[in-house]
Amino acid sequence: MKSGHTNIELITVLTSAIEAVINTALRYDPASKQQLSTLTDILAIESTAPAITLYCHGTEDGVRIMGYCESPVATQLKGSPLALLSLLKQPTNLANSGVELVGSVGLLQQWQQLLQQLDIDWEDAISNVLGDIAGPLAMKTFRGSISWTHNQKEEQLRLLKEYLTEELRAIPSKTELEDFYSAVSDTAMDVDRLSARATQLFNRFKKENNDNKETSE
Amino acid sequence: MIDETPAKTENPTHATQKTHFGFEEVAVEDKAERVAGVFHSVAGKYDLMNDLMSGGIHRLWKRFTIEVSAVRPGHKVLDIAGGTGDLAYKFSKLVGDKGQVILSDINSSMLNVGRDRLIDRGVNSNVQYAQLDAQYLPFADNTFDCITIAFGLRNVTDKDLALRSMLRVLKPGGRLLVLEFSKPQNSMLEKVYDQYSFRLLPLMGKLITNDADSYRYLAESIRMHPDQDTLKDMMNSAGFANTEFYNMTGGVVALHKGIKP
Repeated sequence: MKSGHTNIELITVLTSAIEAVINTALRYDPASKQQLSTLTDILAIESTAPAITLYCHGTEDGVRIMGYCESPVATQLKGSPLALLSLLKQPTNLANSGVELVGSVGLLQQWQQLLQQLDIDWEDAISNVLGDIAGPLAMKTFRGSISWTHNQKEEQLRLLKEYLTEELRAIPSKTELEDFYSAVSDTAMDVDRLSARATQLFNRFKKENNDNKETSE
Repeated sequence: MIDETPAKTENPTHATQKTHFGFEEVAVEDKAERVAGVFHSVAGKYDLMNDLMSGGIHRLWKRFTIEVSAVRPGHKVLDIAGGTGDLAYKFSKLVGDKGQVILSDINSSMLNVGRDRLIDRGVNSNVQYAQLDAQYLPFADNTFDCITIAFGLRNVTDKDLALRSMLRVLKPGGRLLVLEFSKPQNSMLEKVYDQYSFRLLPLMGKLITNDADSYRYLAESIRMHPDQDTLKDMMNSAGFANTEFYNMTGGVVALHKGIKP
């Protein structure tokens, strides 16, 4: 970012917003916050599209995210935003992930471990805003809504499957499919047996034919 | 008001020295007093006016300045014209217990506001306060790892003298960061900016602090301040190396960086 760079404010807004959200959330997970303070080496995350590099490291106050950094970088990750986000799910395997890594793998593993152990007490966070009565009530309602949504999703899937197989007859049921696969398997075995039998007969016929020729000579 | 420190003498090359106070020509010995009057007047509502006038963007300019400073634990930092202590607060977190930050301003009202703010925010172990003139820094040679002056250099009467003074107290390899209003890089933006500065700014000053003149001075002093390339040349002439600048908000503000060789 040298003279005349036009994205300084944009990147600074981005880094300050991400930093504020993470650090606000970390207030409700003191253990992770304490662990974060040990990750003082710089992790650089370079997104290829849009072309942005963010630098982050842990501090006593949480995480610090920068758009400009002159300090030495311990680990640099480079890839598309989706590929970089997928690293959160697959802990250490970078093969075919679309992410290039330069530097220490250990630092990346420490960050991944920290992110996976993150246990934010959302009820406490909500209670700080809504109070000790409305906060837990809101969280209970929220958890109930999540559970209801999950159940509804499973029920809708079951009904849709039933409608497609039983009412529309658009797709076969599981039992019909199993019978079909079983019949295909039986047929395949019968064909194999027939083929083996034919080969055996052919070989026997060939041998008898050769014996007859030798006798006549 | 995003603006800070005044000083004493403007390029004292002649016996009958005159200098500018905004667009007005004043005697050199009067300028410091006139500028001090501006800041005594606005100190109480300084933060509020900063947010209103810049739409909060001054926080982004300062945040970027902190990033470019590359300040690390154990560093010694001098924040000249530190005003209400925005930069000093961040530096105090970065340098840690082994480091030291000196928040300084020539104006006692501004320094008092800054000191109160930092104490209220629980900062007291590694920050010291000093009322000083940027042209005559009362520190030993090679003392600081980093010096910042945010929205203060244009109020310094002899800018070259101040830059040389800063170079002297920096350690070799230390860096000076000058955050200051500058020249917009787009003519359309410049016209809009002029209208804003000379019409809206004094009106806001009148409404909020009942002091239109101070905010008129702010707009005028910005126009009298050297543009990006001139300030870069001044830093080079003072003896800084690897000088460069970063334009922000289309050149409305520029951050100049120079390293002591």
